[in-house]
Amino acid sequence: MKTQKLILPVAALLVLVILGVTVARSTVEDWRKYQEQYAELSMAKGGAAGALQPIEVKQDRLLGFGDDRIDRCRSCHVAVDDPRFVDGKEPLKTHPSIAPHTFNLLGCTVCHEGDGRATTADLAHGKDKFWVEPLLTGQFIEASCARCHPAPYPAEAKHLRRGRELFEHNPCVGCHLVQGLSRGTLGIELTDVGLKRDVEFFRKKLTKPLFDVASTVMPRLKLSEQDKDDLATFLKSLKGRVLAEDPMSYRARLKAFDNAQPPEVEVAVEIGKKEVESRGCVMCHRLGDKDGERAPDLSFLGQIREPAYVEAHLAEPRQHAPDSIMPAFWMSPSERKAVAAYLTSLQGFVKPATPAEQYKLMCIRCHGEKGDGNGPVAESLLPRPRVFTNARFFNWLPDQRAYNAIRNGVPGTAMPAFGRILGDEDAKAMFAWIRATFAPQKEPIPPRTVPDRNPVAYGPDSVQRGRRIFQERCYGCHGRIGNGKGPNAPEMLPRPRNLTNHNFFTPLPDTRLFESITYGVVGTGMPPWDVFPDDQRWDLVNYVRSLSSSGPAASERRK
Amino acid sequence: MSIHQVVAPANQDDSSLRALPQRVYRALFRSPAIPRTELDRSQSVSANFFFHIHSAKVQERTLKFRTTMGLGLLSLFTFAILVVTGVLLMFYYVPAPEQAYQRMLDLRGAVVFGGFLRALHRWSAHAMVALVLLHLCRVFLTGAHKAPREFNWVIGVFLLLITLFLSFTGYLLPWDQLAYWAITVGTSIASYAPVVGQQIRFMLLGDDAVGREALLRFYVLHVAVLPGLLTTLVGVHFWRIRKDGGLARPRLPPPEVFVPGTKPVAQSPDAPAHDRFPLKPGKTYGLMCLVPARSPNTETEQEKTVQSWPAALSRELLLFLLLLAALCLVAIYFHAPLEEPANPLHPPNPAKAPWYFLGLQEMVSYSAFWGGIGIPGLLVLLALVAPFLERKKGGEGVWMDHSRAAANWTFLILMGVLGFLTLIGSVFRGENWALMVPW
Repeated sequence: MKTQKLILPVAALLVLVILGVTVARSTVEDWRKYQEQYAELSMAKGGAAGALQPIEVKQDRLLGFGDDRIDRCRSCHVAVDDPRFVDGKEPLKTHPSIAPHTFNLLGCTVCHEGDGRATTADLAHGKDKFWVEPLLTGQFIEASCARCHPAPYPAEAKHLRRGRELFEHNPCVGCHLVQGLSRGTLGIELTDVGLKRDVEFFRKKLTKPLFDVASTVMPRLKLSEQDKDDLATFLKSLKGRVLAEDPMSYRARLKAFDNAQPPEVEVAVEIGKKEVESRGCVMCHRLGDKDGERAPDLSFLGQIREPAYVEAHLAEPRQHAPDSIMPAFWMSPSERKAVAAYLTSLQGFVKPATPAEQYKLMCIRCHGEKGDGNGPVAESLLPRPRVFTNARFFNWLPDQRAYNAIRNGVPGTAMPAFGRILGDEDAKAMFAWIRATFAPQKEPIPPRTVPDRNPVAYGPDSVQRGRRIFQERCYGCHGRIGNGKGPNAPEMLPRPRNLTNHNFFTPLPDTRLFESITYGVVGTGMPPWDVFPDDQRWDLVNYVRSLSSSGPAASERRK
Repeated sequence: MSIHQVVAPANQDDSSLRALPQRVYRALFRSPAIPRTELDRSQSVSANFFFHIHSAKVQERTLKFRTTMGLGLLSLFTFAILVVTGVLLMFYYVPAPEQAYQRMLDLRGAVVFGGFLRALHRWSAHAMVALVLLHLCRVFLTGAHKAPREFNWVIGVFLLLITLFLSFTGYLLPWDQLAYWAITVGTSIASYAPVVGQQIRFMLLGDDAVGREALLRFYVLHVAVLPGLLTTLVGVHFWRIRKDGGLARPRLPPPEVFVPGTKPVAQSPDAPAHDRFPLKPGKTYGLMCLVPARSPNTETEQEKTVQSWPAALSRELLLFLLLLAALCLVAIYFHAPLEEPANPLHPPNPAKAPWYFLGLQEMVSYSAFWGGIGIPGLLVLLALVAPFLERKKGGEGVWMDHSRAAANWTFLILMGVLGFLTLIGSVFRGENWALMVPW
């Protein structure tokens, strides 16, 4: 009973102490300290005005910058407009002149971002894990100029201007949509990306696109630190409509932009050259001494591809390779013709003497120096470049097929017909050199028996039967829609074949598909499926035909 | 001073100015501030509006910690803390999408004690859900839901549902990503109900998606409708405890026949004077003398009772103080979470419901209807009819009584499965609801 009499007051005391601590903690805020310091210092500096200010949370209520916007930054940064504190230490420091802007109308967070409502340094500076607008410092503050000043931005905002220039004159515009500025469809819309991401994110994403996602078509860009900072400044400035622009004229501007047609130009080599230069093709491709190291070499492209192919490729790259990440740029037919003419005009290919040197010039970009399929461009390509050091695959690969690939290219992939610049003899020599260097044939190939024609007629019934098997057994790698992006695909190298690749499958005979299904593809993730009876495998062949609209299914595609 | 002196001031002039303080006191209270006699102590309880929910005397075993673990009272006290902090928060809150989040920032940064208040409210809300759930477990495992207390159990189940719904509606109010998507997920679960699912969701949200209307509806439900309902039902719940004869308690062996003139059974000698009470058999409750009817009366055996004042009241006060201290400590050291502002276009991956619904969300990931509606509906139905299904007498007031082993283990296994699913859903589910290891 005695302990019980004691425990009640003890508990009451405990509650009082805890509440007391809470009260005490709420009175030792930093902004009180700073305002007291400010009062002392300004007395010492010989002005009585500052000392008379009451110690309180100081608020700037900002009109015209969103609902109920309040900045309390000057609770700590109390000396920003006091010229006596030029040499002061943060937060008691005079702000550089911002005339004609004023603090009480513009506040602080309109330019600096951060959380204007918070009254502790960490929260106010947006260091909270969840705060989307951390404090902008240094050149990145320029991003905020664009809130009110539409492009072209004020001359003082040098980095912002340069960032926009970089964006406009590089392939960024090919993939990304920024309303009123670019028309890309391949990438993520960036119209108001500045509201969603911070500067650090942009800086990382520009050179390491995979840092936050498992897969992306965004290439790793080769950018200098300054380029990165300027682009990040520009991206941070993208917040939809500029406040100075009224909604109706904004809409009118967007509409005019959407209705605009790309200009027709004279089809001339010179014009094409200018196009290629102003569009920043070399941000990804190589041309002459410039190399973005993200896409194939254009230096001798004109000697391999027809102008018509180049033109068509510019119009829609995915009609040649369905997984190409090259954007379809906003170009008029004559602009495309001019670019094709320019690329075709580059005929200065000098064939190196030995296959080793030829390999170095033409092949390592994709296939890699060591033949491991890991050239600098490889990760931009799908299907990935063939790995020559895959001994098991090359042991099985018939010589004729390998030679044909070098000589004629592989349709539906990035592999061009190098026979056109090498000639048949050198192509043969090249193949022999690759074989000898990377993948000497070691084991004899057991004979395979493959019928010489497809005994199951192509038709809806067969396709349906094939579909059923496919959706049960094949989708894990090849995907439900056969695009080679099934759930297991990211872990497989080489990647599962995209079965909708029309160009790739068109030249292949049914028997080749049947062979790959029956015996698997040695050296890849494709296992032999001889557990299925013959006619089921032929059904699968027919289903692949329907997926890729090739072979007998091609007639359906034309309809 | 005892009440008799106050009531009958024979030797004092009642109308003198000196007696005024006493008269004011008497106008407010009918019993002395520190009662010293049995009668005064009874009066302190029965004549006080706030205390009279107690009987004047309570069973000694009612006060033992292991009897109830204080869970029901703790739930009530958390609710009281929630009402007080909630009302204070209401002074700062605006239920509109443009302002709600900014008001959270104000609470965090500019309102004195704002962060503390919000944290206290938030953690108390979680605590209340947990305490009510534990209270339900305690009641079931001690067989306290059985006749004649079936109806109180049913009320209790509704109280649990209201508590969950209260917490759920409060979840949306900060209008941050956590709130927005938890409610989006939670209300989607409701839409899996057959036929009327979409309508229920629409009625809750006032729209096809969580937005302005939903915020206002959830606010009104959270601050007016549900607390009112809860308060009313809590009143009924407590009233029923008394009308059902106090807490469930085990049957004692038949009492010795009381012979007038003999000494009552000896009590423990260290019991204080006010806790002593002559044990008498045949004590009943109710309006027995007025009408001939069956009364939900108590057992007829001897009772060991003590005065509610101070034995019960002091324990209750202690319980309240300890709870308040614990919650305040938590609120000081753990801020209430506040994520980025709600963004309907940018769902987090994974988007998770509040923790107490994660068991449901886990089940929903296997089957939308059965996980979200079918199984939870059946569980609630089972809970409602449980006391009517368990008709055999015995085991009341005893933890895990052998005679109720089957019922208890069924209950424990069901709760265990629910707890397990909740654990999986809250800790072991990552992006795209894929299983993952959290460390």
